[in-house]
Amino acid sequence: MKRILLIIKNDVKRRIKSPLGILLFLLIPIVMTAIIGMIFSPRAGNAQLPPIKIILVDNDKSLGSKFFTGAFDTKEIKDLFQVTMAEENEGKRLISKGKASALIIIPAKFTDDLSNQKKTTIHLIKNPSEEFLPGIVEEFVNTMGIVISGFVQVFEPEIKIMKKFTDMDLENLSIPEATPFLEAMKTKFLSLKKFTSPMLIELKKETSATDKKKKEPEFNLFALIMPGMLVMFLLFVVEGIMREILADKENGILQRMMFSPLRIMDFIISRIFSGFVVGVLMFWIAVVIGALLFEIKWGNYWYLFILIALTSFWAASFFALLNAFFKNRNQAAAFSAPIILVFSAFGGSMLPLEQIPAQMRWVSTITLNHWFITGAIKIGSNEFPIVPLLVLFILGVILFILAVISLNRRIKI
Amino acid sequence: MEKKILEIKNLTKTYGELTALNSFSLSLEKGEILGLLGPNGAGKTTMISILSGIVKDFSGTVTFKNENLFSNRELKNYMGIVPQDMAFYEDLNAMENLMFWGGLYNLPNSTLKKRAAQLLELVELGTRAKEPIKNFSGGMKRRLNIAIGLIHNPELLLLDEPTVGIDVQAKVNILDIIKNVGEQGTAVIFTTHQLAEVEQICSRIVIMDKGTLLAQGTMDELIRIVGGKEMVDVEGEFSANHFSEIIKNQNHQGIEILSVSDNLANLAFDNTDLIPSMMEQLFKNQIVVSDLKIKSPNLEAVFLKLTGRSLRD
Repeated sequence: MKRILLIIKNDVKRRIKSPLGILLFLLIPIVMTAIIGMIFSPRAGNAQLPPIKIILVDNDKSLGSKFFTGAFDTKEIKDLFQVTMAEENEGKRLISKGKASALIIIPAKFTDDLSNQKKTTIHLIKNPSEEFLPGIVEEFVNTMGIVISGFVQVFEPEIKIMKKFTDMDLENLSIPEATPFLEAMKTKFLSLKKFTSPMLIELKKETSATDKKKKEPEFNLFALIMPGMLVMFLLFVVEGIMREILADKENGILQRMMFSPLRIMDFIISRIFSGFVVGVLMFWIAVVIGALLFEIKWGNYWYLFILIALTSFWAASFFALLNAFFKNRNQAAAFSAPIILVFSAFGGSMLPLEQIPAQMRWVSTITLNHWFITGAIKIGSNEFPIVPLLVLFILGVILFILAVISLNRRIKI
Repeated sequence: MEKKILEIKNLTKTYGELTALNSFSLSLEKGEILGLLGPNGAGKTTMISILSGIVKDFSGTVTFKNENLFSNRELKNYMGIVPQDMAFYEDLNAMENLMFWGGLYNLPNSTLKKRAAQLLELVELGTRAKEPIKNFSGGMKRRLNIAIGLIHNPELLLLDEPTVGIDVQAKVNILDIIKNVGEQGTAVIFTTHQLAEVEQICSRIVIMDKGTLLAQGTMDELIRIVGGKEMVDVEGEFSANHFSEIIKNQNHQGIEILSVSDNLANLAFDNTDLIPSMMEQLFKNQIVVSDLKIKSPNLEAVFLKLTGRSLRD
């Protein structure tokens, strides 16, 4: 036991004496968290979506189309969309040159078709080089379509009269001829009045974060990014320490250790725990930095300690096991890096798990990244992450036993 | 008090068809410095590797401090090994290395600190104890390598070619250290293929070749093997066969061929008066001699006589 502790102490001391490697692996996730967080965080300034450029072509130029185009003229919508009216050919030319996010074409006879309860189609051409903004336009046009469709179905006769009024020469309109329609309209409007005035449903706009601040933890994007980044770079650090098993074998250090009463199993165990200790230390430094720099509320620190300890243990055991199958440290380095990157890609360090195709999502459950990130998020939400802890513990123990047995058999000095 | 510290009996190790050690037996007493002399492939490193526990699957017995060396791991606390390649952590300084390596043995921390400081003085690194090892010269690293082998004050020290690849001054320093260690009562086994080194510091010499112990004894005892003859090296333009035929055909009593190759022959003469007649015979057989050296009997001659080849072959 004394010798095991001595090797662990020596390994940690060597890392502290030459801290550049560890510092680099500590700095990278912090910097990356900062950059990604600042780009996407809602707290990052008062950045607003730029006005979405739309080209509107009105081939109808009648009551219905004016109602549609008029919708873009309201104050709220004006902030969201920057509308340019154009002829159809010009509109198509502009959208093909990427001058707007979308082109909306209102067909000729749009109002006629609506008033005759016939189907009509508004043509939406999206800018192929954009994904997000044309999507907003599409939603808006869909909503307008639903509203107008509903309206024309309720006020079908009235719209026909209005259409007639707007089409005919009003000077030739006889009052007896118009009276029945006007009476009918009046009756419908009066019956609708109790629903529309005053409005029973009122829209109240507010920012949810300010009201909920006192009740629930503030949303912090950094808290979602940093665990993933940390666990990815922890894998690199621990892998480097485990690779030293092979390095010590190659440069005669292990052989020299075997001149002493130390057993090879003692060496393997001590090296795994060196990786564990360095991993835990690195994690805690990062946790403190995360709390101070990014104001991350990590949650219960005892739970976090258990999670970090099990994660580091898992990582050290895993890479120790891998090293049993590598011939030398160069081979270990060559194979380990892709393994870490795959773990990180599928485990949620590089992108949210929801972004991974559903049929490939099971892969994440075999990664350390997945269980650490899930655990960290649960702790941040004041929950006890029983499942991640159990998985990490059970797999960690299995990997540790396999690593000790395999290395003990395969290391020949 | 028992003086014998190590006894090796019938040690045999084979690698497939190759016999690396062949029924090798040896014993060593406290304070004795034993030089294990042999060319590359003689089996020196194999023997050191067996004693240090690295090489297994051999036959024979090794008794250390009256116990089977391989039955008790704790016996390693009394044995120091200095490998041929330097093995220590270059990112630690000399003192930190000594503390780490010493910690692997059963030494209390306070004793370890004192011992490390003493050793650094002994190997003349006292003033550089806190300096990063990566700044050390080759000779300094070699001396530290030896100090690590001595950190736990072993009763037996095994050194595998400790002077390889260093300059003359560093070599002299290392030999002085080994001599000093022997004088303090530590038994030393020291492998080399440098004749001058064993002549300089060893109290006893073992000559081995192809895994077999050919001769052992003090310097004087070994020189008696060549019978106090004068050694003569002949260089010239001749083939090995032609030269051997001339010497044998002329029935030169008192001249012994120790070794002969094309253009070089090592001979042992009962009397140097025989040299003129040998030269006359060579001249008659149209052999041109370019150089002729007369030397006093030495270890090289013994080695030549025993193995039929030079140590550098």
